Amino acid sequence: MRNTRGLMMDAVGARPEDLPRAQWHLVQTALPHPEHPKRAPLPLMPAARALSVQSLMTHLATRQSARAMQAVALLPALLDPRTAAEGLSFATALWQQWQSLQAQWLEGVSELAEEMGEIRHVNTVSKFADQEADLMQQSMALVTAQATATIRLVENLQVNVDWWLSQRATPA
Amino acid sequence: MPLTSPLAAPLPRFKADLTQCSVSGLSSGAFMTVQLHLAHSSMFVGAGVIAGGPYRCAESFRAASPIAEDAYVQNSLFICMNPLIPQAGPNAERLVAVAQQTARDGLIDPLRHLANDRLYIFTGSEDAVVDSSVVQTTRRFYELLGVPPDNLRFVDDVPAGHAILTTNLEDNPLGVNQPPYINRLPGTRMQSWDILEHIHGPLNPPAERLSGRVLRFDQREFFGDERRACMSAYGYAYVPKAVEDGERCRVHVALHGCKQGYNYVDVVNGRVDSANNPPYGNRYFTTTGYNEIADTNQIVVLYPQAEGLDDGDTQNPEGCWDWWGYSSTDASQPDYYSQQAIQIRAIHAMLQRLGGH
Repeated sequence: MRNTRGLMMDAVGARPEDLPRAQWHLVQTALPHPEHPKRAPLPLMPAARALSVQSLMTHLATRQSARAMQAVALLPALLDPRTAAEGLSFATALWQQWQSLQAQWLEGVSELAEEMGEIRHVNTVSKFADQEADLMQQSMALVTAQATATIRLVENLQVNVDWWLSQRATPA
Repeated sequence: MPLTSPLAAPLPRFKADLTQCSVSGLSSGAFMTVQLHLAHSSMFVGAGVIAGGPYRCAESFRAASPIAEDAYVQNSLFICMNPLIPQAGPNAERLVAVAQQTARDGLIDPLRHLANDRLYIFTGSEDAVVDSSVVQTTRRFYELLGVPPDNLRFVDDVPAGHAILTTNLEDNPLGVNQPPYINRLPGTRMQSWDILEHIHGPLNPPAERLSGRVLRFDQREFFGDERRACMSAYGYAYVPKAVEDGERCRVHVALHGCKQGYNYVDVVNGRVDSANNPPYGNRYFTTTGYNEIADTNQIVVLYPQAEGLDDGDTQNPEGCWDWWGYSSTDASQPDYYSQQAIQIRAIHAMLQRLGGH
């Protein structure tokens, strides 16, 4: 699971193939796997609960990005073709980042599903309790990572747009 | 401050030619490479920058936040590492002007010393930690400072992740972006060899069996054991046998990246997970190939060590070199880029020691 903590070494660069690859992995987790015959299909409950959180973040991010684009619209003196093209690049880059966030979520859910689907033997109550607690913590970590990554993207966009507009206003 | 790590032997004196030094680094080590290179350009003949940005990049946009410290961190993350588009990244022309002013203020060596230097600058096309457009700006930065095109080797066509590249079979696959940020490049050449050969010209082939040894030295004398330095108790240096026997030598400073110091342990749920994760940090000064090529060319490789700290005063949880001001005493007027920076002073003092002073 790719982990985003809002720290220096977060690997947040987006690639166009991120989402298709992750979607295929998700499909695979819903199907029986010949190399893992005891793995159960994808559980739905953790995904459903966490999607509500993601939806909230979607609204926040949309609001913020709308604010950023409105800021561009409020500066007609700076709207030349180059600025418009770069503004479109921003939108494209943001969309690609958003797609990669979706991919990150799907990858995490897939890995969690694989983990939950494993039927492991336990000989003690403590080991069983530890395994169940691990799954809960992994679920929480997935949600946290997704929330942090989304917030990071919002901050990234805000600072980038402000810096970009600042350079337009005061060329070097 | 009481010693928590046992005292190590001091860094020995050798006969290093301090006009022929070189420096290279990965990630935060690459940012610090540029800072060290400019701060003491009279000592250096070249530098190797792997996935690093231009000088004082973290100060690109002060208005990012009313609080200076916040602005510099935001700049470092969102302008100097992950700009959404290249135009939202660092501006080479502006940063050259800043560097020129910094030199006029006497905070770094005159920039004329860079004129004949040789630069190796690398960005992996799969690097998801420091965007390639930022590293392209580093190239532009040096071009604007007058480094001739023939002296500047820019490599951007390798599908590598954020890492230094080796030929070790144990290392991560080429395109990976995760610790220990040491990735395997198919072939027979270590990236460190390319760096040193580009800087110093043709070199003797790397040793198959090392003649010298890795020295551990007490690093604390060089930074006064101040916590804000985020430097470890120990530093390391590879010394070829010929150098230990009294031969003259050159020095190459090899700066690890974040999470690569010898004692770095990752944080899990906000806590250093030392109970489960052994440090892997000695990989950088033992397996990245520098020692092998240094051994046959009378080069001492100096490996200063940074470490993580995240408390009320200093925010550097990942053990990065300071390229955004965390070690400065005045957050609103950081000095991390100058000869007076605590980390740069420490490394400079180490070089002086290796030169026999």
